[in-house]
Amino acid sequence: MKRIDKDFEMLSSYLDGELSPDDVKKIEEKISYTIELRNKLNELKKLKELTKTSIKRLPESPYFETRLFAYLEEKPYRYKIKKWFPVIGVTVLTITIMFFLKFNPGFIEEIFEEQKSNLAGFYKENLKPLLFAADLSNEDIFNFAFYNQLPLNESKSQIIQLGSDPSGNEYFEIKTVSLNTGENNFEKFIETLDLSDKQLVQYDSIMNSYAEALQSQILINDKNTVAISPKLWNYQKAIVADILSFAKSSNEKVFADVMPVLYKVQSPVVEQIVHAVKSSKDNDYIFLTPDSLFIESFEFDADEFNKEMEIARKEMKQGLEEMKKNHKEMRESDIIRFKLDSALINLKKVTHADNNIGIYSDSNICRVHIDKIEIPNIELPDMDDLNEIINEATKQIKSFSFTFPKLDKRIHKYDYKIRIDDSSSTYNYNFDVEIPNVDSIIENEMKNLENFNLPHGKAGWNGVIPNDSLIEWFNFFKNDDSTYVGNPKQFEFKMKEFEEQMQKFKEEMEKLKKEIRKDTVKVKQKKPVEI
Amino acid sequence: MSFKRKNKVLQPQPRILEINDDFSLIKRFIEGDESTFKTLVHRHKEKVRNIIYLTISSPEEVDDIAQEVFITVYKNLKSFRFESQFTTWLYRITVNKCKDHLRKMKTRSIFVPVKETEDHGYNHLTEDMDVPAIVQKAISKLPEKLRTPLLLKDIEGFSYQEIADTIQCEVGTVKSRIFRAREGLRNILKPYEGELKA
Repeated sequence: MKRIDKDFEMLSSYLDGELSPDDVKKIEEKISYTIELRNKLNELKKLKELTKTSIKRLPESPYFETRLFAYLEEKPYRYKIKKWFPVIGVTVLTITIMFFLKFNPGFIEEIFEEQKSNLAGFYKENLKPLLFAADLSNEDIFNFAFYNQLPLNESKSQIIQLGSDPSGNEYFEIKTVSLNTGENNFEKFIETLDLSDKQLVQYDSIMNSYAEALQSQILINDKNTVAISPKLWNYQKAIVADILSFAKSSNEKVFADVMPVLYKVQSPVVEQIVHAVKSSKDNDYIFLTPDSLFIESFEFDADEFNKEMEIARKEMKQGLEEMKKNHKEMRESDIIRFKLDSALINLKKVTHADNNIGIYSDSNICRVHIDKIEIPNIELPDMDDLNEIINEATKQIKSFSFTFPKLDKRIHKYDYKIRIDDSSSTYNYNFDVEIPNVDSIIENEMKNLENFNLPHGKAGWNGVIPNDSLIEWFNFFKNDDSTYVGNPKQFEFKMKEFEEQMQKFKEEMEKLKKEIRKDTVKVKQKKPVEI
Repeated sequence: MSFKRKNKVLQPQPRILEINDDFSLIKRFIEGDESTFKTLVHRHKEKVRNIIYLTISSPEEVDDIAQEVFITVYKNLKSFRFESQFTTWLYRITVNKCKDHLRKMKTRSIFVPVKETEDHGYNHLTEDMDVPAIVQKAISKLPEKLRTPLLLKDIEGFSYQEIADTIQCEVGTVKSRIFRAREGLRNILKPYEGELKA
């Protein structure tokens, strides 16, 4: 600050009487000899006077106190209440919520439902069939009908299995194992029924219709959501009924032989079943997502999807390589495979309270129990009847038992036991069988071969075959060629052939023996090697 | 006998002082005698109202702000610590309330369109105004931090120390601000020297 400004400021304080006595002396001394300071002091005095005279004091307010105290008396509790605002607020809010919930009990549920539907909406996006109709062969559909298994990928390393637990509750499993349905079941079925070409075409068309239908039953999207329609169970039953009905109508005789119990399946009943399944408008799906399991209605537009696929196929047919590539890419991007990942494994603790869905999973299998889901029950001929017939037929076999002793080189006599249990009694048969020493037999036979002379006229072991009762026994023996060798003349002829072959064999053995001897002599003549 | 009586020398009676200073009233208030608050209000209300008036230059809002001041005093009086004069505490609350009010007005003015007729400086002081009006208008043009110390000094007669306690700053700052306020006022009034001399 400039010195002159400093002095001016002191003048201001001097005017206000705020200077110390020393400063007063100093500034008064300066004022006495500096005209500039005197002028400034006058100016400041004037300004101070102007300020004082210009500003009027506010007139008294007669009502101020009345108003203030009225306010304080009226609202003293305001300030006390403020302290309790949080407690009062919480209490009032709680009571309000309690009353609200008392009269709107469904409110919370509505919120949950809304959240659930939002979540469901998220998982419902972009759902596409897991199974492409084009990828499902007749064999796959046949196996699905009779073994409840459907492959979920081209390599057939992941499958979906439908089943029911001992208490009769349905479940489905998605597991990474290969199909255990055996091979070429469908071909065997066709062969057994001996279908004509026309019937084959007819069968193909039935299976194709199911392939289309099955396509809509299992859907999946890029969020690893799998949606399974409960109708899948009924489709399985419908396919069984349809196949059996078709088999019966195409080759009634074979069908009656193979499946006598199911022979009674009536075609009109099958038609009713198939119609009931196909026309069902139940759009519920079981959604298995990485973090939840729920049942929601979902409408899969199969026609729209097929149109898209048809367009893609047409583009492919246009023959452009690029288009083919695009289609392949599109197809690959369309095909989403279900992953049994850790998120799903975490779901195993989740049980769906509303629907009694239970899930059990590890890295290879995911089983979903759907205890209380309504799967419309379709009556099928009971396969268990067939099992009963098989059981009855094999009853006799079951009652047959036998025991063989352990073979021991040192023991030449064994005790074989056969036991047959009839419904009324039990038969035991013991056979003492003397087993010759095999080594000694071979040795003896080699010696016999050396002395073997072919007899003329009569055939027999060691040159003589006695024409006794054993020959008669052969009359009842049926060999593998289904030709009876009961005729003695024919038998004699066969034995003659055998003797000739034995003669040839003997000669060859002699020859071999001589050669071996020669080699042995040669070895003996060798000189020892000097070391 | 009666003469004697007349000439009897009257002994000075011990003076019973009614302890009615601010501290005593506050103590009684703390002890539960809330009626003493009325005395405090009655004693200081005009000073408070004038400080508000001088600070915000808006008479119609003075009583509302003054009421807020005394409500705050009423709520906090029981925690008064007797470390400073009651008036210092009271005026500090008053000045702070005025500052709050001015801050609110400033914020509000951001959202209100500026009137075309509004004055934008001392040059817009109208010529037909009388001297007090011109000076009042000029003072209102001063920044609040200069205006308040100047008015507390020249109108209310506060000492520099009292002003420093009220606006919570150093005495040197008060000294400087009052001088700067006067310099500012001089500059604003310069074009009206003629009117002011007359």
